[in-house]
Amino acid sequence: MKRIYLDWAATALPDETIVNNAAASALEHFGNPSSPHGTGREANTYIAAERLKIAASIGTDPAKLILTSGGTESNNIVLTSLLNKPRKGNIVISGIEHAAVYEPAMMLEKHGWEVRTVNPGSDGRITAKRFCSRIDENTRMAAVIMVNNETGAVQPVTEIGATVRAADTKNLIHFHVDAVQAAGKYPLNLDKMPIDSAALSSHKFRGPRGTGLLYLNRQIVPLYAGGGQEQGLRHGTENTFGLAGTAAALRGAVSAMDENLAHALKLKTILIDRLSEIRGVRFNTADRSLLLNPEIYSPYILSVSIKPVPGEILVRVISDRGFDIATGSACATGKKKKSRVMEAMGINSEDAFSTVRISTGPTNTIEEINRFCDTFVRESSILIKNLRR
Amino acid sequence: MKRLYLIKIGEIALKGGNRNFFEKRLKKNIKFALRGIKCTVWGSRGRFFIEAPEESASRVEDVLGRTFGIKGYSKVQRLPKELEQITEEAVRMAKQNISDGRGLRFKIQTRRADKGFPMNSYEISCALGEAVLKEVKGTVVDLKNPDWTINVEMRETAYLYGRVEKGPGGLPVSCAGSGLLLLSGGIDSPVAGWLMAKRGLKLDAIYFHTYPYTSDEARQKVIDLAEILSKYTCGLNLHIVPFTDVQLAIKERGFEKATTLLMRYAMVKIADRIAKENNGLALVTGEALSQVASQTPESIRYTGSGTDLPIFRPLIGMDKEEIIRIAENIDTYRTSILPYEDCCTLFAPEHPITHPDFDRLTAEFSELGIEDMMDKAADETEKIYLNGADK
Repeated sequence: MKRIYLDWAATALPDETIVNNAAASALEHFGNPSSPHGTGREANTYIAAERLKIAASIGTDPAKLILTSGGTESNNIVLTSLLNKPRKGNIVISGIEHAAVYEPAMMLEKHGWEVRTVNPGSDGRITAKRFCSRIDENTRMAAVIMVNNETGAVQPVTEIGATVRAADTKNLIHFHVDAVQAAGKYPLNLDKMPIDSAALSSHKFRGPRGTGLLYLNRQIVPLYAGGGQEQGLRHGTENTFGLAGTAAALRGAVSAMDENLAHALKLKTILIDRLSEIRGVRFNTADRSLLLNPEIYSPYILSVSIKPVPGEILVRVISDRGFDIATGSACATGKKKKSRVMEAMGINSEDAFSTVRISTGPTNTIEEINRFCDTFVRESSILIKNLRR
Repeated sequence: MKRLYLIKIGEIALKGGNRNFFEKRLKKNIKFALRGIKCTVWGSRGRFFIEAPEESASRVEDVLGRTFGIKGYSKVQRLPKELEQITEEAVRMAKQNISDGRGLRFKIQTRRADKGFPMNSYEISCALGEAVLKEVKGTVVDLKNPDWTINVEMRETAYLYGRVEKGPGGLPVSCAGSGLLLLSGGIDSPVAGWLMAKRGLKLDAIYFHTYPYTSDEARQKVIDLAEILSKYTCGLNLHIVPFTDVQLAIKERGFEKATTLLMRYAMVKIADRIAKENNGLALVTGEALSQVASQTPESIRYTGSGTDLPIFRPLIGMDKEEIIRIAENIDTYRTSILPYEDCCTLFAPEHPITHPDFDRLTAEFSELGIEDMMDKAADETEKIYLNGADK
């Protein structure tokens, strides 16, 4: 039987039409956009048009968009730019950042920057007040993840950004947002948001792997040097295939946004109802009423803990039955460490190790979710019985 | 081009009437480890030679360095028994040592097995030493603390060699029959297996797999460890027992605090059956006294009672650091510490008993009623052969 894919937060199911059209475009417009000859100029015109489409769908203009290799690189360009600053200060980040922000911050710490982390409550959400209480005259950067990849908790980035701006009278703080799990799922009107930069990753919204975007509305000095492409911020010949795929995927996602969100909510409602049948189940964020509020939790992500079954065992058993789900965070898989995000939320070890993440996408059907729930409820009940002390 | 090595054998040389048996086994093991390479192994009475193509030198040296029964080996030059040629080669070796920066103090050591040669050992050493002193400026004879030694052996022909590389010692694998190693994926059991193979035991290994509670990565890790061991043991059969049902039944029906002991007893019982079906004469475990709750004298008495075969526990008196040092030397450590949890931790009681009552546990186990389940697990055991080949 066909496998049912419920790990969209790790990577979305590629859209065949998008991939094929992008490949055709890459073949047709193969020239190096920097070349002065006809083929190069034609390619340049093509990528400019694609860039315009992307910009239009996220409320900005192409001059503020840098094409990158993905979310990790977009985040890194911004954070590592601090290494070029002559004087060190502090950087304030949430305690639930993805490794693509957290690890570069740790690297900055090794180079003498002070890193201040702000933890969320057990609901997985950061408050603007708490975040801004850590900002002072030496703060040079602040970063918050817009939708957390493990819990789906939506952070009030607009409110945080506005509060940062208000406190930052000398305009010294670069406010960065990791929007990887938000892009294509939530309306992004980037120029209207009180942010300086945002990271996006194409494969999370059904675009091609190895492509991402950096929205940049404030000047930075990047670490890398090269041929000067992407306004001197991300050197290397432009990825025509990636750009074409990103433009098509992002436009597709944005135009179907409301419809997809309503569908995801429907699926999440079923998941919550059915999984509540399991004894001792715990939804890792808040009570059920809030879980279905898309302004607070992403309807695409559900983090659930089934004590005392280790998440990795549950994922294995469910996988053997034909369903793909994730443990806390795919990027931390294989490392025998409690998830940093769960730790920051103050979730105890047993709950953290028993956590699995179910993330849906627009192609999942109600019938698939019902089948998944049947299997999940049955198998987790067997495992609970076998492992209960 | 061929390269010749002299192999020195260790403890075999002490064997009396059955020395021939040990020597034959060693030759066979070397040839097995070097299969695929066109080489010749010959010799007896404490001295073996192997001649192999120059391009296989690094593999040959790896094999000689890890084959049990070999105390040491050297690259040797074979020459006619002519003093002039021998002297020329000794001077060349001396010059090479100096240019390699190995010091100036040297010694010539001669053994004359061929008593027909007109000079005795002392005279040969003196003649060569004198030539070296004369030809290689700055060299000094130092019989007690030489920086390097040139060895000369006068046999059917003359052999010259310098540094002796260390072999692992011990006895050739298979000369003590065969045993079954309980391999868990941790640090200890591969070391235990290696130590027993060093005493001449041919090894098979058994692993108890508790899928889905242990992952396929954990199973692969055990296969990888068995593969490393198989290089020392001239190949190895790994028996993978599907243990989940037995494990769950023990957890459900057994006395909670004794879960680990009952589980280990069941493992020993299944291992006993697999060993006997495969002509095994002993079991081998990585137990070290007092390391964990199941390794107290009382616990070991109980778990060991699942077999009437001897259980070899070569680590019993070792500290963890000593075990880790060996694991690093035999290259199992890196694999052993990969983070795939084995089922022991998942099913381990929070407060295990450390001084079990033998009779009570014996009775308890028979009340579990899991004999059929254990038989089924043994019947469904999968066997993987690891041929010990270098990749």
